Amino acid sequence: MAGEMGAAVDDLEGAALQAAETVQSGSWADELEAAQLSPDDDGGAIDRRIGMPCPCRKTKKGEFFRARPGPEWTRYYFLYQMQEGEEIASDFYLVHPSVAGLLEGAATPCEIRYCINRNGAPFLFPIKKGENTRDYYKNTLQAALTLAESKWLRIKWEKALGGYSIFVAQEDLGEPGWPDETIPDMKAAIDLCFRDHYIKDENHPAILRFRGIKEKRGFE
Amino acid sequence: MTGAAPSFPEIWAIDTEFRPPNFPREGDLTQPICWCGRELRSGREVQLWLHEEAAPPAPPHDAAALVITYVAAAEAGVYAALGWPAPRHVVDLMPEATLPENGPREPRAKLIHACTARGIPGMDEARKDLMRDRILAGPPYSYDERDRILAYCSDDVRMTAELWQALPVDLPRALVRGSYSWACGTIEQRGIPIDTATLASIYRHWGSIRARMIAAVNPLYGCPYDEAGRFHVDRLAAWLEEAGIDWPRHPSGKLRQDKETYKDMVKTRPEMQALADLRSILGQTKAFNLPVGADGRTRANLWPMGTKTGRCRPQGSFIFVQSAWLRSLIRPESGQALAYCDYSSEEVLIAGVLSGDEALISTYESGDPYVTFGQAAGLIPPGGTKRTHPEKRGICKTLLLGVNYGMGAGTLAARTGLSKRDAADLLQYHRQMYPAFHQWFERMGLLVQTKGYLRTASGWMQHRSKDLNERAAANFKVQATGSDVLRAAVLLLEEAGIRTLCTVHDAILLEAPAGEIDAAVHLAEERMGRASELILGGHRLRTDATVIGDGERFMDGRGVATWERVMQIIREADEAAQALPAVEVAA
Repeated sequence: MAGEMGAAVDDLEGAALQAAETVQSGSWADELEAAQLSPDDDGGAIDRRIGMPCPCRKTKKGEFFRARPGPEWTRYYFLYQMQEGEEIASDFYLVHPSVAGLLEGAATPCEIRYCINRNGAPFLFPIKKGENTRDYYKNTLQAALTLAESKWLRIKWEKALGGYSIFVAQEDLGEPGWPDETIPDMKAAIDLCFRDHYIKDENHPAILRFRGIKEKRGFE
Repeated sequence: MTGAAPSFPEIWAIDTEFRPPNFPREGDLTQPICWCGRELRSGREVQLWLHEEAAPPAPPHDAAALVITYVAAAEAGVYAALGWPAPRHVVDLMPEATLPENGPREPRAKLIHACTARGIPGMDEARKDLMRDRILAGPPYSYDERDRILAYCSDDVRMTAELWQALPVDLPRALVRGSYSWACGTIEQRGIPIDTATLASIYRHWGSIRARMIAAVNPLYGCPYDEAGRFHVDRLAAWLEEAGIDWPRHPSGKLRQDKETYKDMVKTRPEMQALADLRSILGQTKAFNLPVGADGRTRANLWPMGTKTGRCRPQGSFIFVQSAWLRSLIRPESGQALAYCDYSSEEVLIAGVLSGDEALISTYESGDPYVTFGQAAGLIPPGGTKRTHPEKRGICKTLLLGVNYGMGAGTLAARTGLSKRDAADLLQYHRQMYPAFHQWFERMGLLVQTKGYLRTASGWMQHRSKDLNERAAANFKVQATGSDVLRAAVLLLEEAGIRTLCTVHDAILLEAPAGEIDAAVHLAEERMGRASELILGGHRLRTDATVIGDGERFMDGRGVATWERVMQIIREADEAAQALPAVEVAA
């Protein structure tokens, strides 16, 4: 037992002497100040976002937004909007031009703009460009999107006028924080938005339903 | 003191044995029985039998020695009782053994548990219990018993030394914790002065107090107490249903009856206050054990660093753990005064500093942070104050403290009486006003998942467990940093010669001669402010001080009504007793 304790004391002495070199002996204020550690959080990245929602939608009532300027942030596609009340949610679908005709005019050529709201949520704003679309609707919306490249604004549908009123924020709301790490370009935004909403052939459920054809299931 | 870096002239592992002199009565100054120590470089061992023998004027170790102990507050009590000077350098292995496993495990109060967890052999618990019981039973101790007690104490010294060897001790931080633990032991021995005459009256009339309180309150709530004073929760449930009051329930459907539930319910249903007070006072029948020594002072173990956030976890017999009305028993001795000094709204500034949210710091520095937030959110008009808008301020206080632990709209609504929609709007406003805080809150939740622990700047750490999840992470940092601040404050107060009598969460109670109390408070507030600056990177917490002058008594606002009711019952009982005709009793 004595031998064991002797060895223990040798180790203790080593440990204690090493520790003793680090000790300060000033007033408690000095010692407390010296004993403060650097933060346990070095401020570095804890994780990296590799995905986020980027829906295709119009703005909500009272929602301020900004549009990303530059032609690289604009695309032109056929879009088809499923009507509300059907089994499939009333979302926008991107339609390949080869099958757009099967939707008999319901697939509309659209300008798609990359936008963001005050909560930092990105979305794709669709502006119909079809020949049947009224000019005033197109023009007011186009004007709003152009202005939104430099100002925070919201739009309001004026039913009697057939166009949008535009309201610009009176406060300086600063520049938007675009999530460039997750959405580095428009291709990424389109992919996030339409990867599950892409009609590329005649067997897509949306086309089958539009044409009144019963969808075949695996067991039939 | 100089800023030089000395090496320790000696390193001692020590342990002491002691007892309450009037065991089983607690509350008196500690009675030392023996002191044992081993100097770890030389292997020199010393055993001192202290009971009924003249103790040396100072301990056997050098004043500048490093003293290693387990639960340093216990040894500090013996030193204080002997009039020995406190060692300048102390390592308490209790918190050091706690930190590597703090979170998944509770702090271990016993040396034997910390040792066996690390494979260090020790006396079996049954034998230890027998020895402890023998020491507590008191003198006379035979020579054989004396030898066995000294051997028992020396074995604890051996285990302490081996534990020191086994633990990875972060010395600069450990020395702060050790000296704080020691200071708490010294503070415990000073005790808190009690109005013993009134305490005796309460004990004497306890049956009347209990019966009168039940009689006055019981009919208001459907008589939940029966004739024997037993509480029937089903009777209360029936009354609540009739009154249309929703009451929180357990998953089993049974009404919640804990203190927190009553506290929350009183905020939204003030008519429940009388029942809450009655429940509190009757709860005292189980826990009404105030240990008061022969000198009229109450003493209880503060158990420094006994919680996961590093705060004290005092025993149930500590007067500030008991119901608020009982605190009015605290009364300065003749010619003395007391002062209760607490950090005001410390969680707000700490959260602001840790998150780097300048808006939150600015809200704190504006004065009353709860009023400032209320004004910004439109709840309180410009010029409104704590006095003019106490309820709105209360809502803002609940919110500003609640966001630290991720309180949602549902809980905020339940605790404040707001609609859930209004509560959600208020929380949204907080998010907009303090975005950096909310980013930091989220970051702490992620950090505890990826690193597996969180640590304060003073080295107090907690590891991931069911108690330290993503939502609790930010609150741990705030509370543990608050605990760092109080540790620093206690050390600076002791150094300044302030006579601290106890710590209470983020407050201290101090004592000084009545003529010197203002100067003592001024110095204490200066030292407390300085402590906060040291921990919070130069940011200073404000303090509030309430002086209890000679002849006055401590009053906690929450307990005043109950205290006055109890005093009235005692007065009437005393008057009734005096009015009784004298009865001759035959021998």
